[in-house]
Amino acid sequence: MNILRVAKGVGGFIAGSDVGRSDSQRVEALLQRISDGALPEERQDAVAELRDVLQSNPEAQQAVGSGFPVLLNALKTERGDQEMTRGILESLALAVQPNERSSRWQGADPAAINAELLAKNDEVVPLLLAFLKDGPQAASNFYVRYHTVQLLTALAAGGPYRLQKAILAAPMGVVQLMDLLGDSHEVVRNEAVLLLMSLTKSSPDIQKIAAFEGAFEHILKILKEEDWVMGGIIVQDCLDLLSHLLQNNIGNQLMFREVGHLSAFVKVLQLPADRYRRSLPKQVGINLAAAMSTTQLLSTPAAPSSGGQEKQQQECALANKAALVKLGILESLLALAVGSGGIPSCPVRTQALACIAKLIKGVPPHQAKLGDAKVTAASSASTPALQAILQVALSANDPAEATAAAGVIAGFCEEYREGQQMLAATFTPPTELSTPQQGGIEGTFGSQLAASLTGLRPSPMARAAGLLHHVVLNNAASKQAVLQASSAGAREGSLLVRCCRQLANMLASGQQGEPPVSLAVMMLLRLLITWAHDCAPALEALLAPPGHLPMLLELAQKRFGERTAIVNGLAAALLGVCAMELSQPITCLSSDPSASPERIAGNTVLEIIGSRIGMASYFSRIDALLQRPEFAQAPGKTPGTDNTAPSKGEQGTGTVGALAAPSIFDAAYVRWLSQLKDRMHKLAMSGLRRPSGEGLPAANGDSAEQPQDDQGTITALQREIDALKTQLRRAHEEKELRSKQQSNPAHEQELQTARAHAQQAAAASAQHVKELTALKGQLQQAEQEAVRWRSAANQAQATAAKLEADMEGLGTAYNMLETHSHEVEARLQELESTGVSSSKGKGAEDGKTAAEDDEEDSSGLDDLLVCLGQEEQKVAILRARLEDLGVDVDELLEAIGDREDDPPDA
Amino acid sequence: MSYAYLFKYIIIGDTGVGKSCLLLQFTDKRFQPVHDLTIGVEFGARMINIDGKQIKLQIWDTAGQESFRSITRSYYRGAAGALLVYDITRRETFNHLASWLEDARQHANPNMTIMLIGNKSDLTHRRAVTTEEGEQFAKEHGLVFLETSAKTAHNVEEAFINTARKIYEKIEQGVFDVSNESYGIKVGYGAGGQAGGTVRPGEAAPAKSSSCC
Repeated sequence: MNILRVAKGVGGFIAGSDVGRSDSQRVEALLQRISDGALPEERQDAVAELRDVLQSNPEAQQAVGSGFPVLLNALKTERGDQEMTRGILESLALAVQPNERSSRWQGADPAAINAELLAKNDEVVPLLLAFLKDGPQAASNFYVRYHTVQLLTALAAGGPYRLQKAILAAPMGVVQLMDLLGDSHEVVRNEAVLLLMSLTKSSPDIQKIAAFEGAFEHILKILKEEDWVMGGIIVQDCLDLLSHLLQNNIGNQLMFREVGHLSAFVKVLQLPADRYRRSLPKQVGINLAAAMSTTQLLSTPAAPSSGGQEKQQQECALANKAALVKLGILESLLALAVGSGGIPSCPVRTQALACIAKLIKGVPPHQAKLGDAKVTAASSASTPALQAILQVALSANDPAEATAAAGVIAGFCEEYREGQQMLAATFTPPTELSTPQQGGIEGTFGSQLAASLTGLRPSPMARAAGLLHHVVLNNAASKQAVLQASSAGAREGSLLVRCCRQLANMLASGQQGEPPVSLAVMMLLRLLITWAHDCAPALEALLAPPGHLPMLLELAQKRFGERTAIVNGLAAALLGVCAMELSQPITCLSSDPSASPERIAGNTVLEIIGSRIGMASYFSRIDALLQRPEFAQAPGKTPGTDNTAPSKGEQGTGTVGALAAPSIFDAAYVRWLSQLKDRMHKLAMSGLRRPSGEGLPAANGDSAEQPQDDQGTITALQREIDALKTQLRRAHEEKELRSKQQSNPAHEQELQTARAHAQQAAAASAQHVKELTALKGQLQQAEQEAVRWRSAANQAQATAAKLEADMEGLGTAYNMLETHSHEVEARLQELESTGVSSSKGKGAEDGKTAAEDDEEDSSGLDDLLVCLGQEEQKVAILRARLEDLGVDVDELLEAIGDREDDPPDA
Repeated sequence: MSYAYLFKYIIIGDTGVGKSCLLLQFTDKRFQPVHDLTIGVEFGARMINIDGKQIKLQIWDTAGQESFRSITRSYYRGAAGALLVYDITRRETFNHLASWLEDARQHANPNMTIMLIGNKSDLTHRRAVTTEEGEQFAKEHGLVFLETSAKTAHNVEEAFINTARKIYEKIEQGVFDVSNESYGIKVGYGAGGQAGGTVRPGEAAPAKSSSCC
């Protein structure tokens, strides 16, 4: 085309027509010719020339924008002319496609502006879709279809939402586009895949119509034709389109699953054995990655924001996972990840591991399936898949891959107790099962992990500690199993003891500030916290050797480079766990009760913390830990699977373990830790309240003030005293025993410790007895006081009742008086009125009688007035009395008045 | 999972006539008295058996609201069967049937089998359209007719299965070119050629690799 353009340019130059004209002027002239040219040939030439000018020419692109109406009009009017149609479509496509020169173009991208301009025009989409329609008037010309699709794709790139709307509004819009997937011309088909990719992205309506119109069938057909994952870039496009169709769309996922497309889909991940043993072509790697993205999408419930159908989303993802695993996808993924050493591409292996973790996590049948799976190891022998994955998790060079492998093991252990116990059972020391199993990777899962854990290099040590954490997490049985299996017959002691020795060695090495070492320390501490929590034998193993507690104190105080806060905090948390668990009533399922004669009490640990670190300083360490970004932003779900990027501090060092801090602590862990802190606070508070510094059991820590709860405290103290007495007795026994074999100098130190303990215990016991008596006294006092108060309260109540009765009597009396006075008044009025009427009506002759009557009346009136005065007096007395009693007399009077007013109405 | 044929259905009709409930009753055998308004289109699937042949039904339940019409029209062309539903207690839903039918005739393939469904037959006391009227309308327009109740499941199975039987008959008669999937019919395993195959249920399907794609 460029040659053509040069030729045209030369032609133009020779003709002299284009001399000195800019590209934009030329475009304008051409548009003019297209619109006004009289002859079809002239218009055709102009279109062809316009197309050439537009090639890689931002200036021309900018100029042609204003001419879109002309071109669209020509498209409509000259539909019969295929050459013309094709030229205009191609020109339009060129006008909206970004080209390599536009990046150097200054100002706004003309292609984007043009795309915006065209998309805004409501006519464009129906006009273009019409070119795709089969039928007599539609152009069957391949180029027409090709450029139409190109143009639509460019428009979609500019603003997919607007185009999606326009396509949906056009009758059968999507349906016509879907037909393109079956186009006999590969170029058109491939363009159509790209177009549908942008159209289906986050448009559930188009996704569904596409699925209805057989998009899945088309895609799988293309994949098959292109030799599945071994194909070219079209395979990648198809898989991306598939992801777009399935994303956040339960209906489409259901259809994909129900119709049996999954069985075809899993073929994508099947690579012919040994085909890519040495190297993997880049495109195949990308295709595999795309296929695994689709797999992950199918096995992950969509974001909760997408429509409140969480339950359905979960069910759908679960059904997808079940179907995929049933169809053997685990085997394909294992072959990619670890089979024969894995595919020679680290990102592919990593993603395969991430996929496996997604598929098995929380689904016991899948976890069991992985537990039973075998892979062909590098030495072409069959090995348990989990062990091969362990190998990767321990020794992969790439941190992300190791993290992904650890994620699989974490996923295997999560909520799958049988699996954890199965792995725990493999920790038998190599002396018993030293013969390699079937010539595969030597040893067992457990022995391999233990070897790394107790090895010299800090990096594998950190990884191994992280893995063992998952094996024992939330599972008391596997905690004990690992402890027992690893200690049976091993001269160096149980694995837990060896972990502590590793910690001590690292402390002694003086290199604890170096990132790999501090990481290992951190991981070991996390493991020990998990292990000792809710597992009495592990706790005993942790605290039995005398050197361990001082070591933990040291860990809580020393500096560890950039991880100082974390390590100090975790060590403090571990001490907290010790204090906590020991202060609880002894319900230990100790395997061997006689093995721990020197059980340290929880308050002793607390005391030691108080004296060596100081309580305030101790809690500040845990607070500092909780404020670390790793904790503040802990991921909500399980660690190790989602966050594969190592933290910045570790990226530089390279050799540092892949278990990066951000993914180590999950939200549940953080929650647990803050609870631990609160409980420790209570424990410490109740401990500090005692003058002796002795702690109370946590359960009673906050109730010491209330007399009625003293009873509980007393019983608890008595229990503790009993426990201490037993300890004391045991210590005495042991002392005697030891004194018999004093010839052995090695026991000297232990003996001393024992003595110290015995003394301590005795002192504590005496203290408790003292306290007990004091408390009993207090209780009696309190009880006496309570009796006193109760009688006082009774008295007060009686007085109150009496006063109330008095009040009521007075009120009644007053009422009666009021009624009486009212009656008297009424009579008075009556009398007055009769008096008046009689004097008027009867006249003089009745005067005498009237005078007599009057006299009688007035004497009656006098009587009444006296009576009233007496009443008033009584009222005054009553008022005074009532006021003394604190009654609001006015109110009372008013109320009485009201009551008196009522009856006449009734 | 293997099937002799796959038929695509759509369910159309005014909003609130019980389209989604019919689908739910047919696929999940349950009734949901309060159903959210269907947005766009929902999908359901079930396997049925006709004359010993496994037939997979893929059903698209469309939104009845006018605002979704342009989207739902996209489903007409590729469907082999349509359930056109009205509500016997709401006369206007019956009156709109003609416009639905016109829409379907315009966009669907001419051989699409349409079943007229008078739903909510359990609500006899509120009936506003008689059975005879429904029958009459179906007869005039060449449709199959049934009254159903998604609530009691009355005639629900029949509605879907009779439609499938009708389509199956048309295939037997050679009305469809089943190789053209745009009619909403797909031949799967064990169809035994175009018509009249003799694959019985339980019999191993002919080993035909990846005919599902």
